[in-house]
Amino acid sequence: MITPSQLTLAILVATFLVSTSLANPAADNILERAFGTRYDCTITAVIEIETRKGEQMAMKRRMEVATKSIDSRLHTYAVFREPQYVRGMAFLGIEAEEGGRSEERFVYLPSLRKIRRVSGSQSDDAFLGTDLSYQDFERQRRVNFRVALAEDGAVGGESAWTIVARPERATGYEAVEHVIAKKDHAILATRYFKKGATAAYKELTMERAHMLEHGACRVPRRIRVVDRQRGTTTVLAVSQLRVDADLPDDLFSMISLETKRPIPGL
Amino acid sequence: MTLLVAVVGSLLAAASVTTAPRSSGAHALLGEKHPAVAQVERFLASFGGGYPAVVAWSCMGPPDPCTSIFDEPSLKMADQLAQRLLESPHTLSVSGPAHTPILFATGTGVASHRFVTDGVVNVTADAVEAALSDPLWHGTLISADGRVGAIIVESIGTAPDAQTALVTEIERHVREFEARGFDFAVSGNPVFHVASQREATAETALVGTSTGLVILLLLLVLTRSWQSVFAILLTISMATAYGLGSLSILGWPWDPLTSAAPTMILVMGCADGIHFTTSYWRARADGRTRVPALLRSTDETMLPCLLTTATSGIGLLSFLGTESAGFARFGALTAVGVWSSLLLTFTVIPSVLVLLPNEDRFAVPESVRWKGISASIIDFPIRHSSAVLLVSLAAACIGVVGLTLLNADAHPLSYWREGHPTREDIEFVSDNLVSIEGLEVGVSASSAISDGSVLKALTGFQGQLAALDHVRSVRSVFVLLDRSTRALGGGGLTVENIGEALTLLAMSGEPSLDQWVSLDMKTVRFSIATDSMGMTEREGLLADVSRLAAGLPTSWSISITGPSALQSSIDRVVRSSALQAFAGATLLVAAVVILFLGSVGWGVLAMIPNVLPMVVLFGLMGFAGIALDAGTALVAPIAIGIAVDDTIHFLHAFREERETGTPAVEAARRAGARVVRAVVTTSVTLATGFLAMLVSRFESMSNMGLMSASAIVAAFFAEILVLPALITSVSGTRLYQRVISRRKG
Repeated sequence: MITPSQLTLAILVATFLVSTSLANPAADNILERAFGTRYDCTITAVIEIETRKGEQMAMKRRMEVATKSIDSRLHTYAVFREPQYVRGMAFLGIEAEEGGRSEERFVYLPSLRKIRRVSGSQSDDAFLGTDLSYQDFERQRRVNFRVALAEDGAVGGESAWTIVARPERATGYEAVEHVIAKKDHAILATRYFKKGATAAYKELTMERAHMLEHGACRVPRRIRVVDRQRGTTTVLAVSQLRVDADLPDDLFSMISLETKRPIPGL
Repeated sequence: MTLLVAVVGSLLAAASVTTAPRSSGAHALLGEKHPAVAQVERFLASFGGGYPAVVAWSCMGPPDPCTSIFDEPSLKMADQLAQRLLESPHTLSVSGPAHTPILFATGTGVASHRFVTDGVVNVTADAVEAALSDPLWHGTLISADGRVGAIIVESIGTAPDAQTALVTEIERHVREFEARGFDFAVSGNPVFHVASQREATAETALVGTSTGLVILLLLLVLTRSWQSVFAILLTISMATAYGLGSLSILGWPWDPLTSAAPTMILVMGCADGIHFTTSYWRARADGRTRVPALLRSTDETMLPCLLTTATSGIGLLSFLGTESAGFARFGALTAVGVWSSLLLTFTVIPSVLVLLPNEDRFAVPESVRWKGISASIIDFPIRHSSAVLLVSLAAACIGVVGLTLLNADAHPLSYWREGHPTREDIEFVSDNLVSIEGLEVGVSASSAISDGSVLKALTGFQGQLAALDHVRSVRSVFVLLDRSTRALGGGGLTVENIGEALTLLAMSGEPSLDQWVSLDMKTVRFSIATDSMGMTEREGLLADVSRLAAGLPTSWSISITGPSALQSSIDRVVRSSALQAFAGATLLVAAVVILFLGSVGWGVLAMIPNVLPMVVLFGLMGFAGIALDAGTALVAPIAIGIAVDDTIHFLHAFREERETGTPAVEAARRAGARVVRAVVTTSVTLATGFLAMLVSRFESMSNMGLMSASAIVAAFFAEILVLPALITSVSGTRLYQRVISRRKG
């Protein structure tokens, strides 16, 4: 015989389970759409990255970049312009096939006049010594995370969700928090957390004022990264940004690397 | 009421000790603001590495669950452990053989290989060969034979709190894998400091209790009065609480040196109580009732106790003028304890003696046998004064020469005895992987390392460093870059390919570039692994490195730091502080003695039997090659403050005898007979009390106990042999006779 208190308890548990199961797909969908607005866009741009530690020490890099999704795999082609000692190097990255962990990377070395394949580096490795990691540029997949909706809130007066994503694979962080605009699923901030920590050790800010909005694409023109653990700040500034440019597939090839083929429009 | 206030006060003081922050290592000995500490901090802030904890394990076959570091169980464990440490908020970076990429050439390019990815082990012959020959792996992450591995963990800071949090976290995770059969050795500077700090806290209770028991037994034998024993023990316990309570009032940290303070206070503090209670019972035996007896004993002992506490306090406070913050704290809080003991002797002991039943106590008459022994002891130096002084002079000369050879070695390894688990871990890691010694050299050039002249100068500098004596290896960004260019198939590092090598490193996930070169590529770190060295070799190497650095362009700035440089500073400070405090204590104690005796001549004479044993004892240490450590360096200034007490008693008695018209030699004989029993009693009590420190597993604390006891015994012999011999010789001189006849005239 079920007592009224047992029935109440059963209803409460059922309500909790239903609400949980409804909340998770919602969070999944939000993150899926946010990744789509950010990464499913063909772009060309000139990127300048400056990483600072204190007032005196700075590292500057400048490169021309093109990205395009070919056969559902994000392809990246970059020609290095600054500093002087890397001028002439060119880079090609191809997103890993499903299940693969790291993208395929090739680099053209002017001193040898040869292409070398660099295998094995991972998406959470630092990008060229800056505070950005490869995953900040690479196509992110929702399936690689366990996702939960943390809270509703506002960023710069704009209504937003905060999605907490815990990586399925071992990484250097326990969780990453994405702040996603309700209006258009643009990612406005990303914060990385160590285990048990309440404060983020690394935070990326993508302000709306510097966001290129083109169709469904939301591409930041300026990313500010604060790495509290490393004690550094990186500012990535994007200029000459074009979204959905008509790029030929063979731009993302070995021949382009060897010839340091110019990116159309840059 | 007095008793209640004193007890409540001491309980509050004791409770406040628990709130004192903890400290250890260079922070404790030198202080946070010392230039050597500040230099290390700046270096760490620049490069985020150089002061790591090392978690090593062995794969020697059963009972180890692996025969090589590259076995699956070993790599999986290393991956999981590193992952947990990486997630910790207390770690800055973690390197290990499982997850740190190893760069090597493949047919089509370069592979940045990880032995474990997503929990899956991937061991290839190429990768193993590369790892075993890689200059950044070999001797750091893996041993030459591949049977010992290590995870290197850089802390987010060198402050004691950060290091304690890191080490606690490491231990928590390591325990889990120990349960799976792995045997770990955890080493590195953060580990030494946390271990020594913990050991010191634990040892304080052990040594303090042992000292208390020893004092209890000694007092029972010597005073044969349970009331005296209770009153004295209560007094010195409360004085210890007040001494330690001053830590939290002053906002000072609890460190391995201050942990020796309770024992010092217990031992030094009981002397006043012994004098007071002895006088009290004598007065009771004379037929006085309690209160008049207490007033009489206060009258009789107040001045000598004040004087002896002053000299002991001066010995302790002499540390305030030294460069070592740790010595200064130790001296100050022990002085507070000793002075509290004086105050409590004249407040708490009378209160206790009034409250406790003590009607049946009677004085123990001095035995006839004691009188005979006293007379023979004093008679010997008087009859053989020239021989005694000649031997003393020879011993002093030997001692002075020995002092010039005396070194200091306050190295963490010297903290623990042979066979102690912490010491074994340090030695295991040092033998198989990274040495606990090491120098870090930071060179800030005028241009980036991609500049041809900068590249040439710095790679040349690296070669010169590698050729120095005691240098095992030199690691720098150039080792990484050279490895990259070879992997790319471009031969060695040149100005043409340095940019490509840097980019390749950055691209391959090499996590440690920050640790070797600044963001603007102008400041480079050279990490020098060295042999284990003594103070002299360490200073020699530092001088050699400085000489080579002087050959670099003058506009460049160079900083030389790291564990060995810091250790060298600690050793220098320990040595100079010991000598400085000893000199200061001797001068100040001499001034007090001169004031008390009212004669410069007698004051100087009084200091000879006190300085002599210290010079001989520490000189012999110099000859024997035994270095001063943080504990033994404290002994001489304290011992001189204690030892002079007996001299004061002797000369006070001598003066009284002389004032009755007794000739000098006879006065010395009588004075000696009067005080020799007291001198024996206090020396036995102090020496035995200090010997109780031998129960400590903390080598510097037990060394301190042994040296203090030796110093007291040596001072005792100097007191009963040298002082009477000096008086006999001096009184026979024409100068003395002239002075005496002038006074009489």
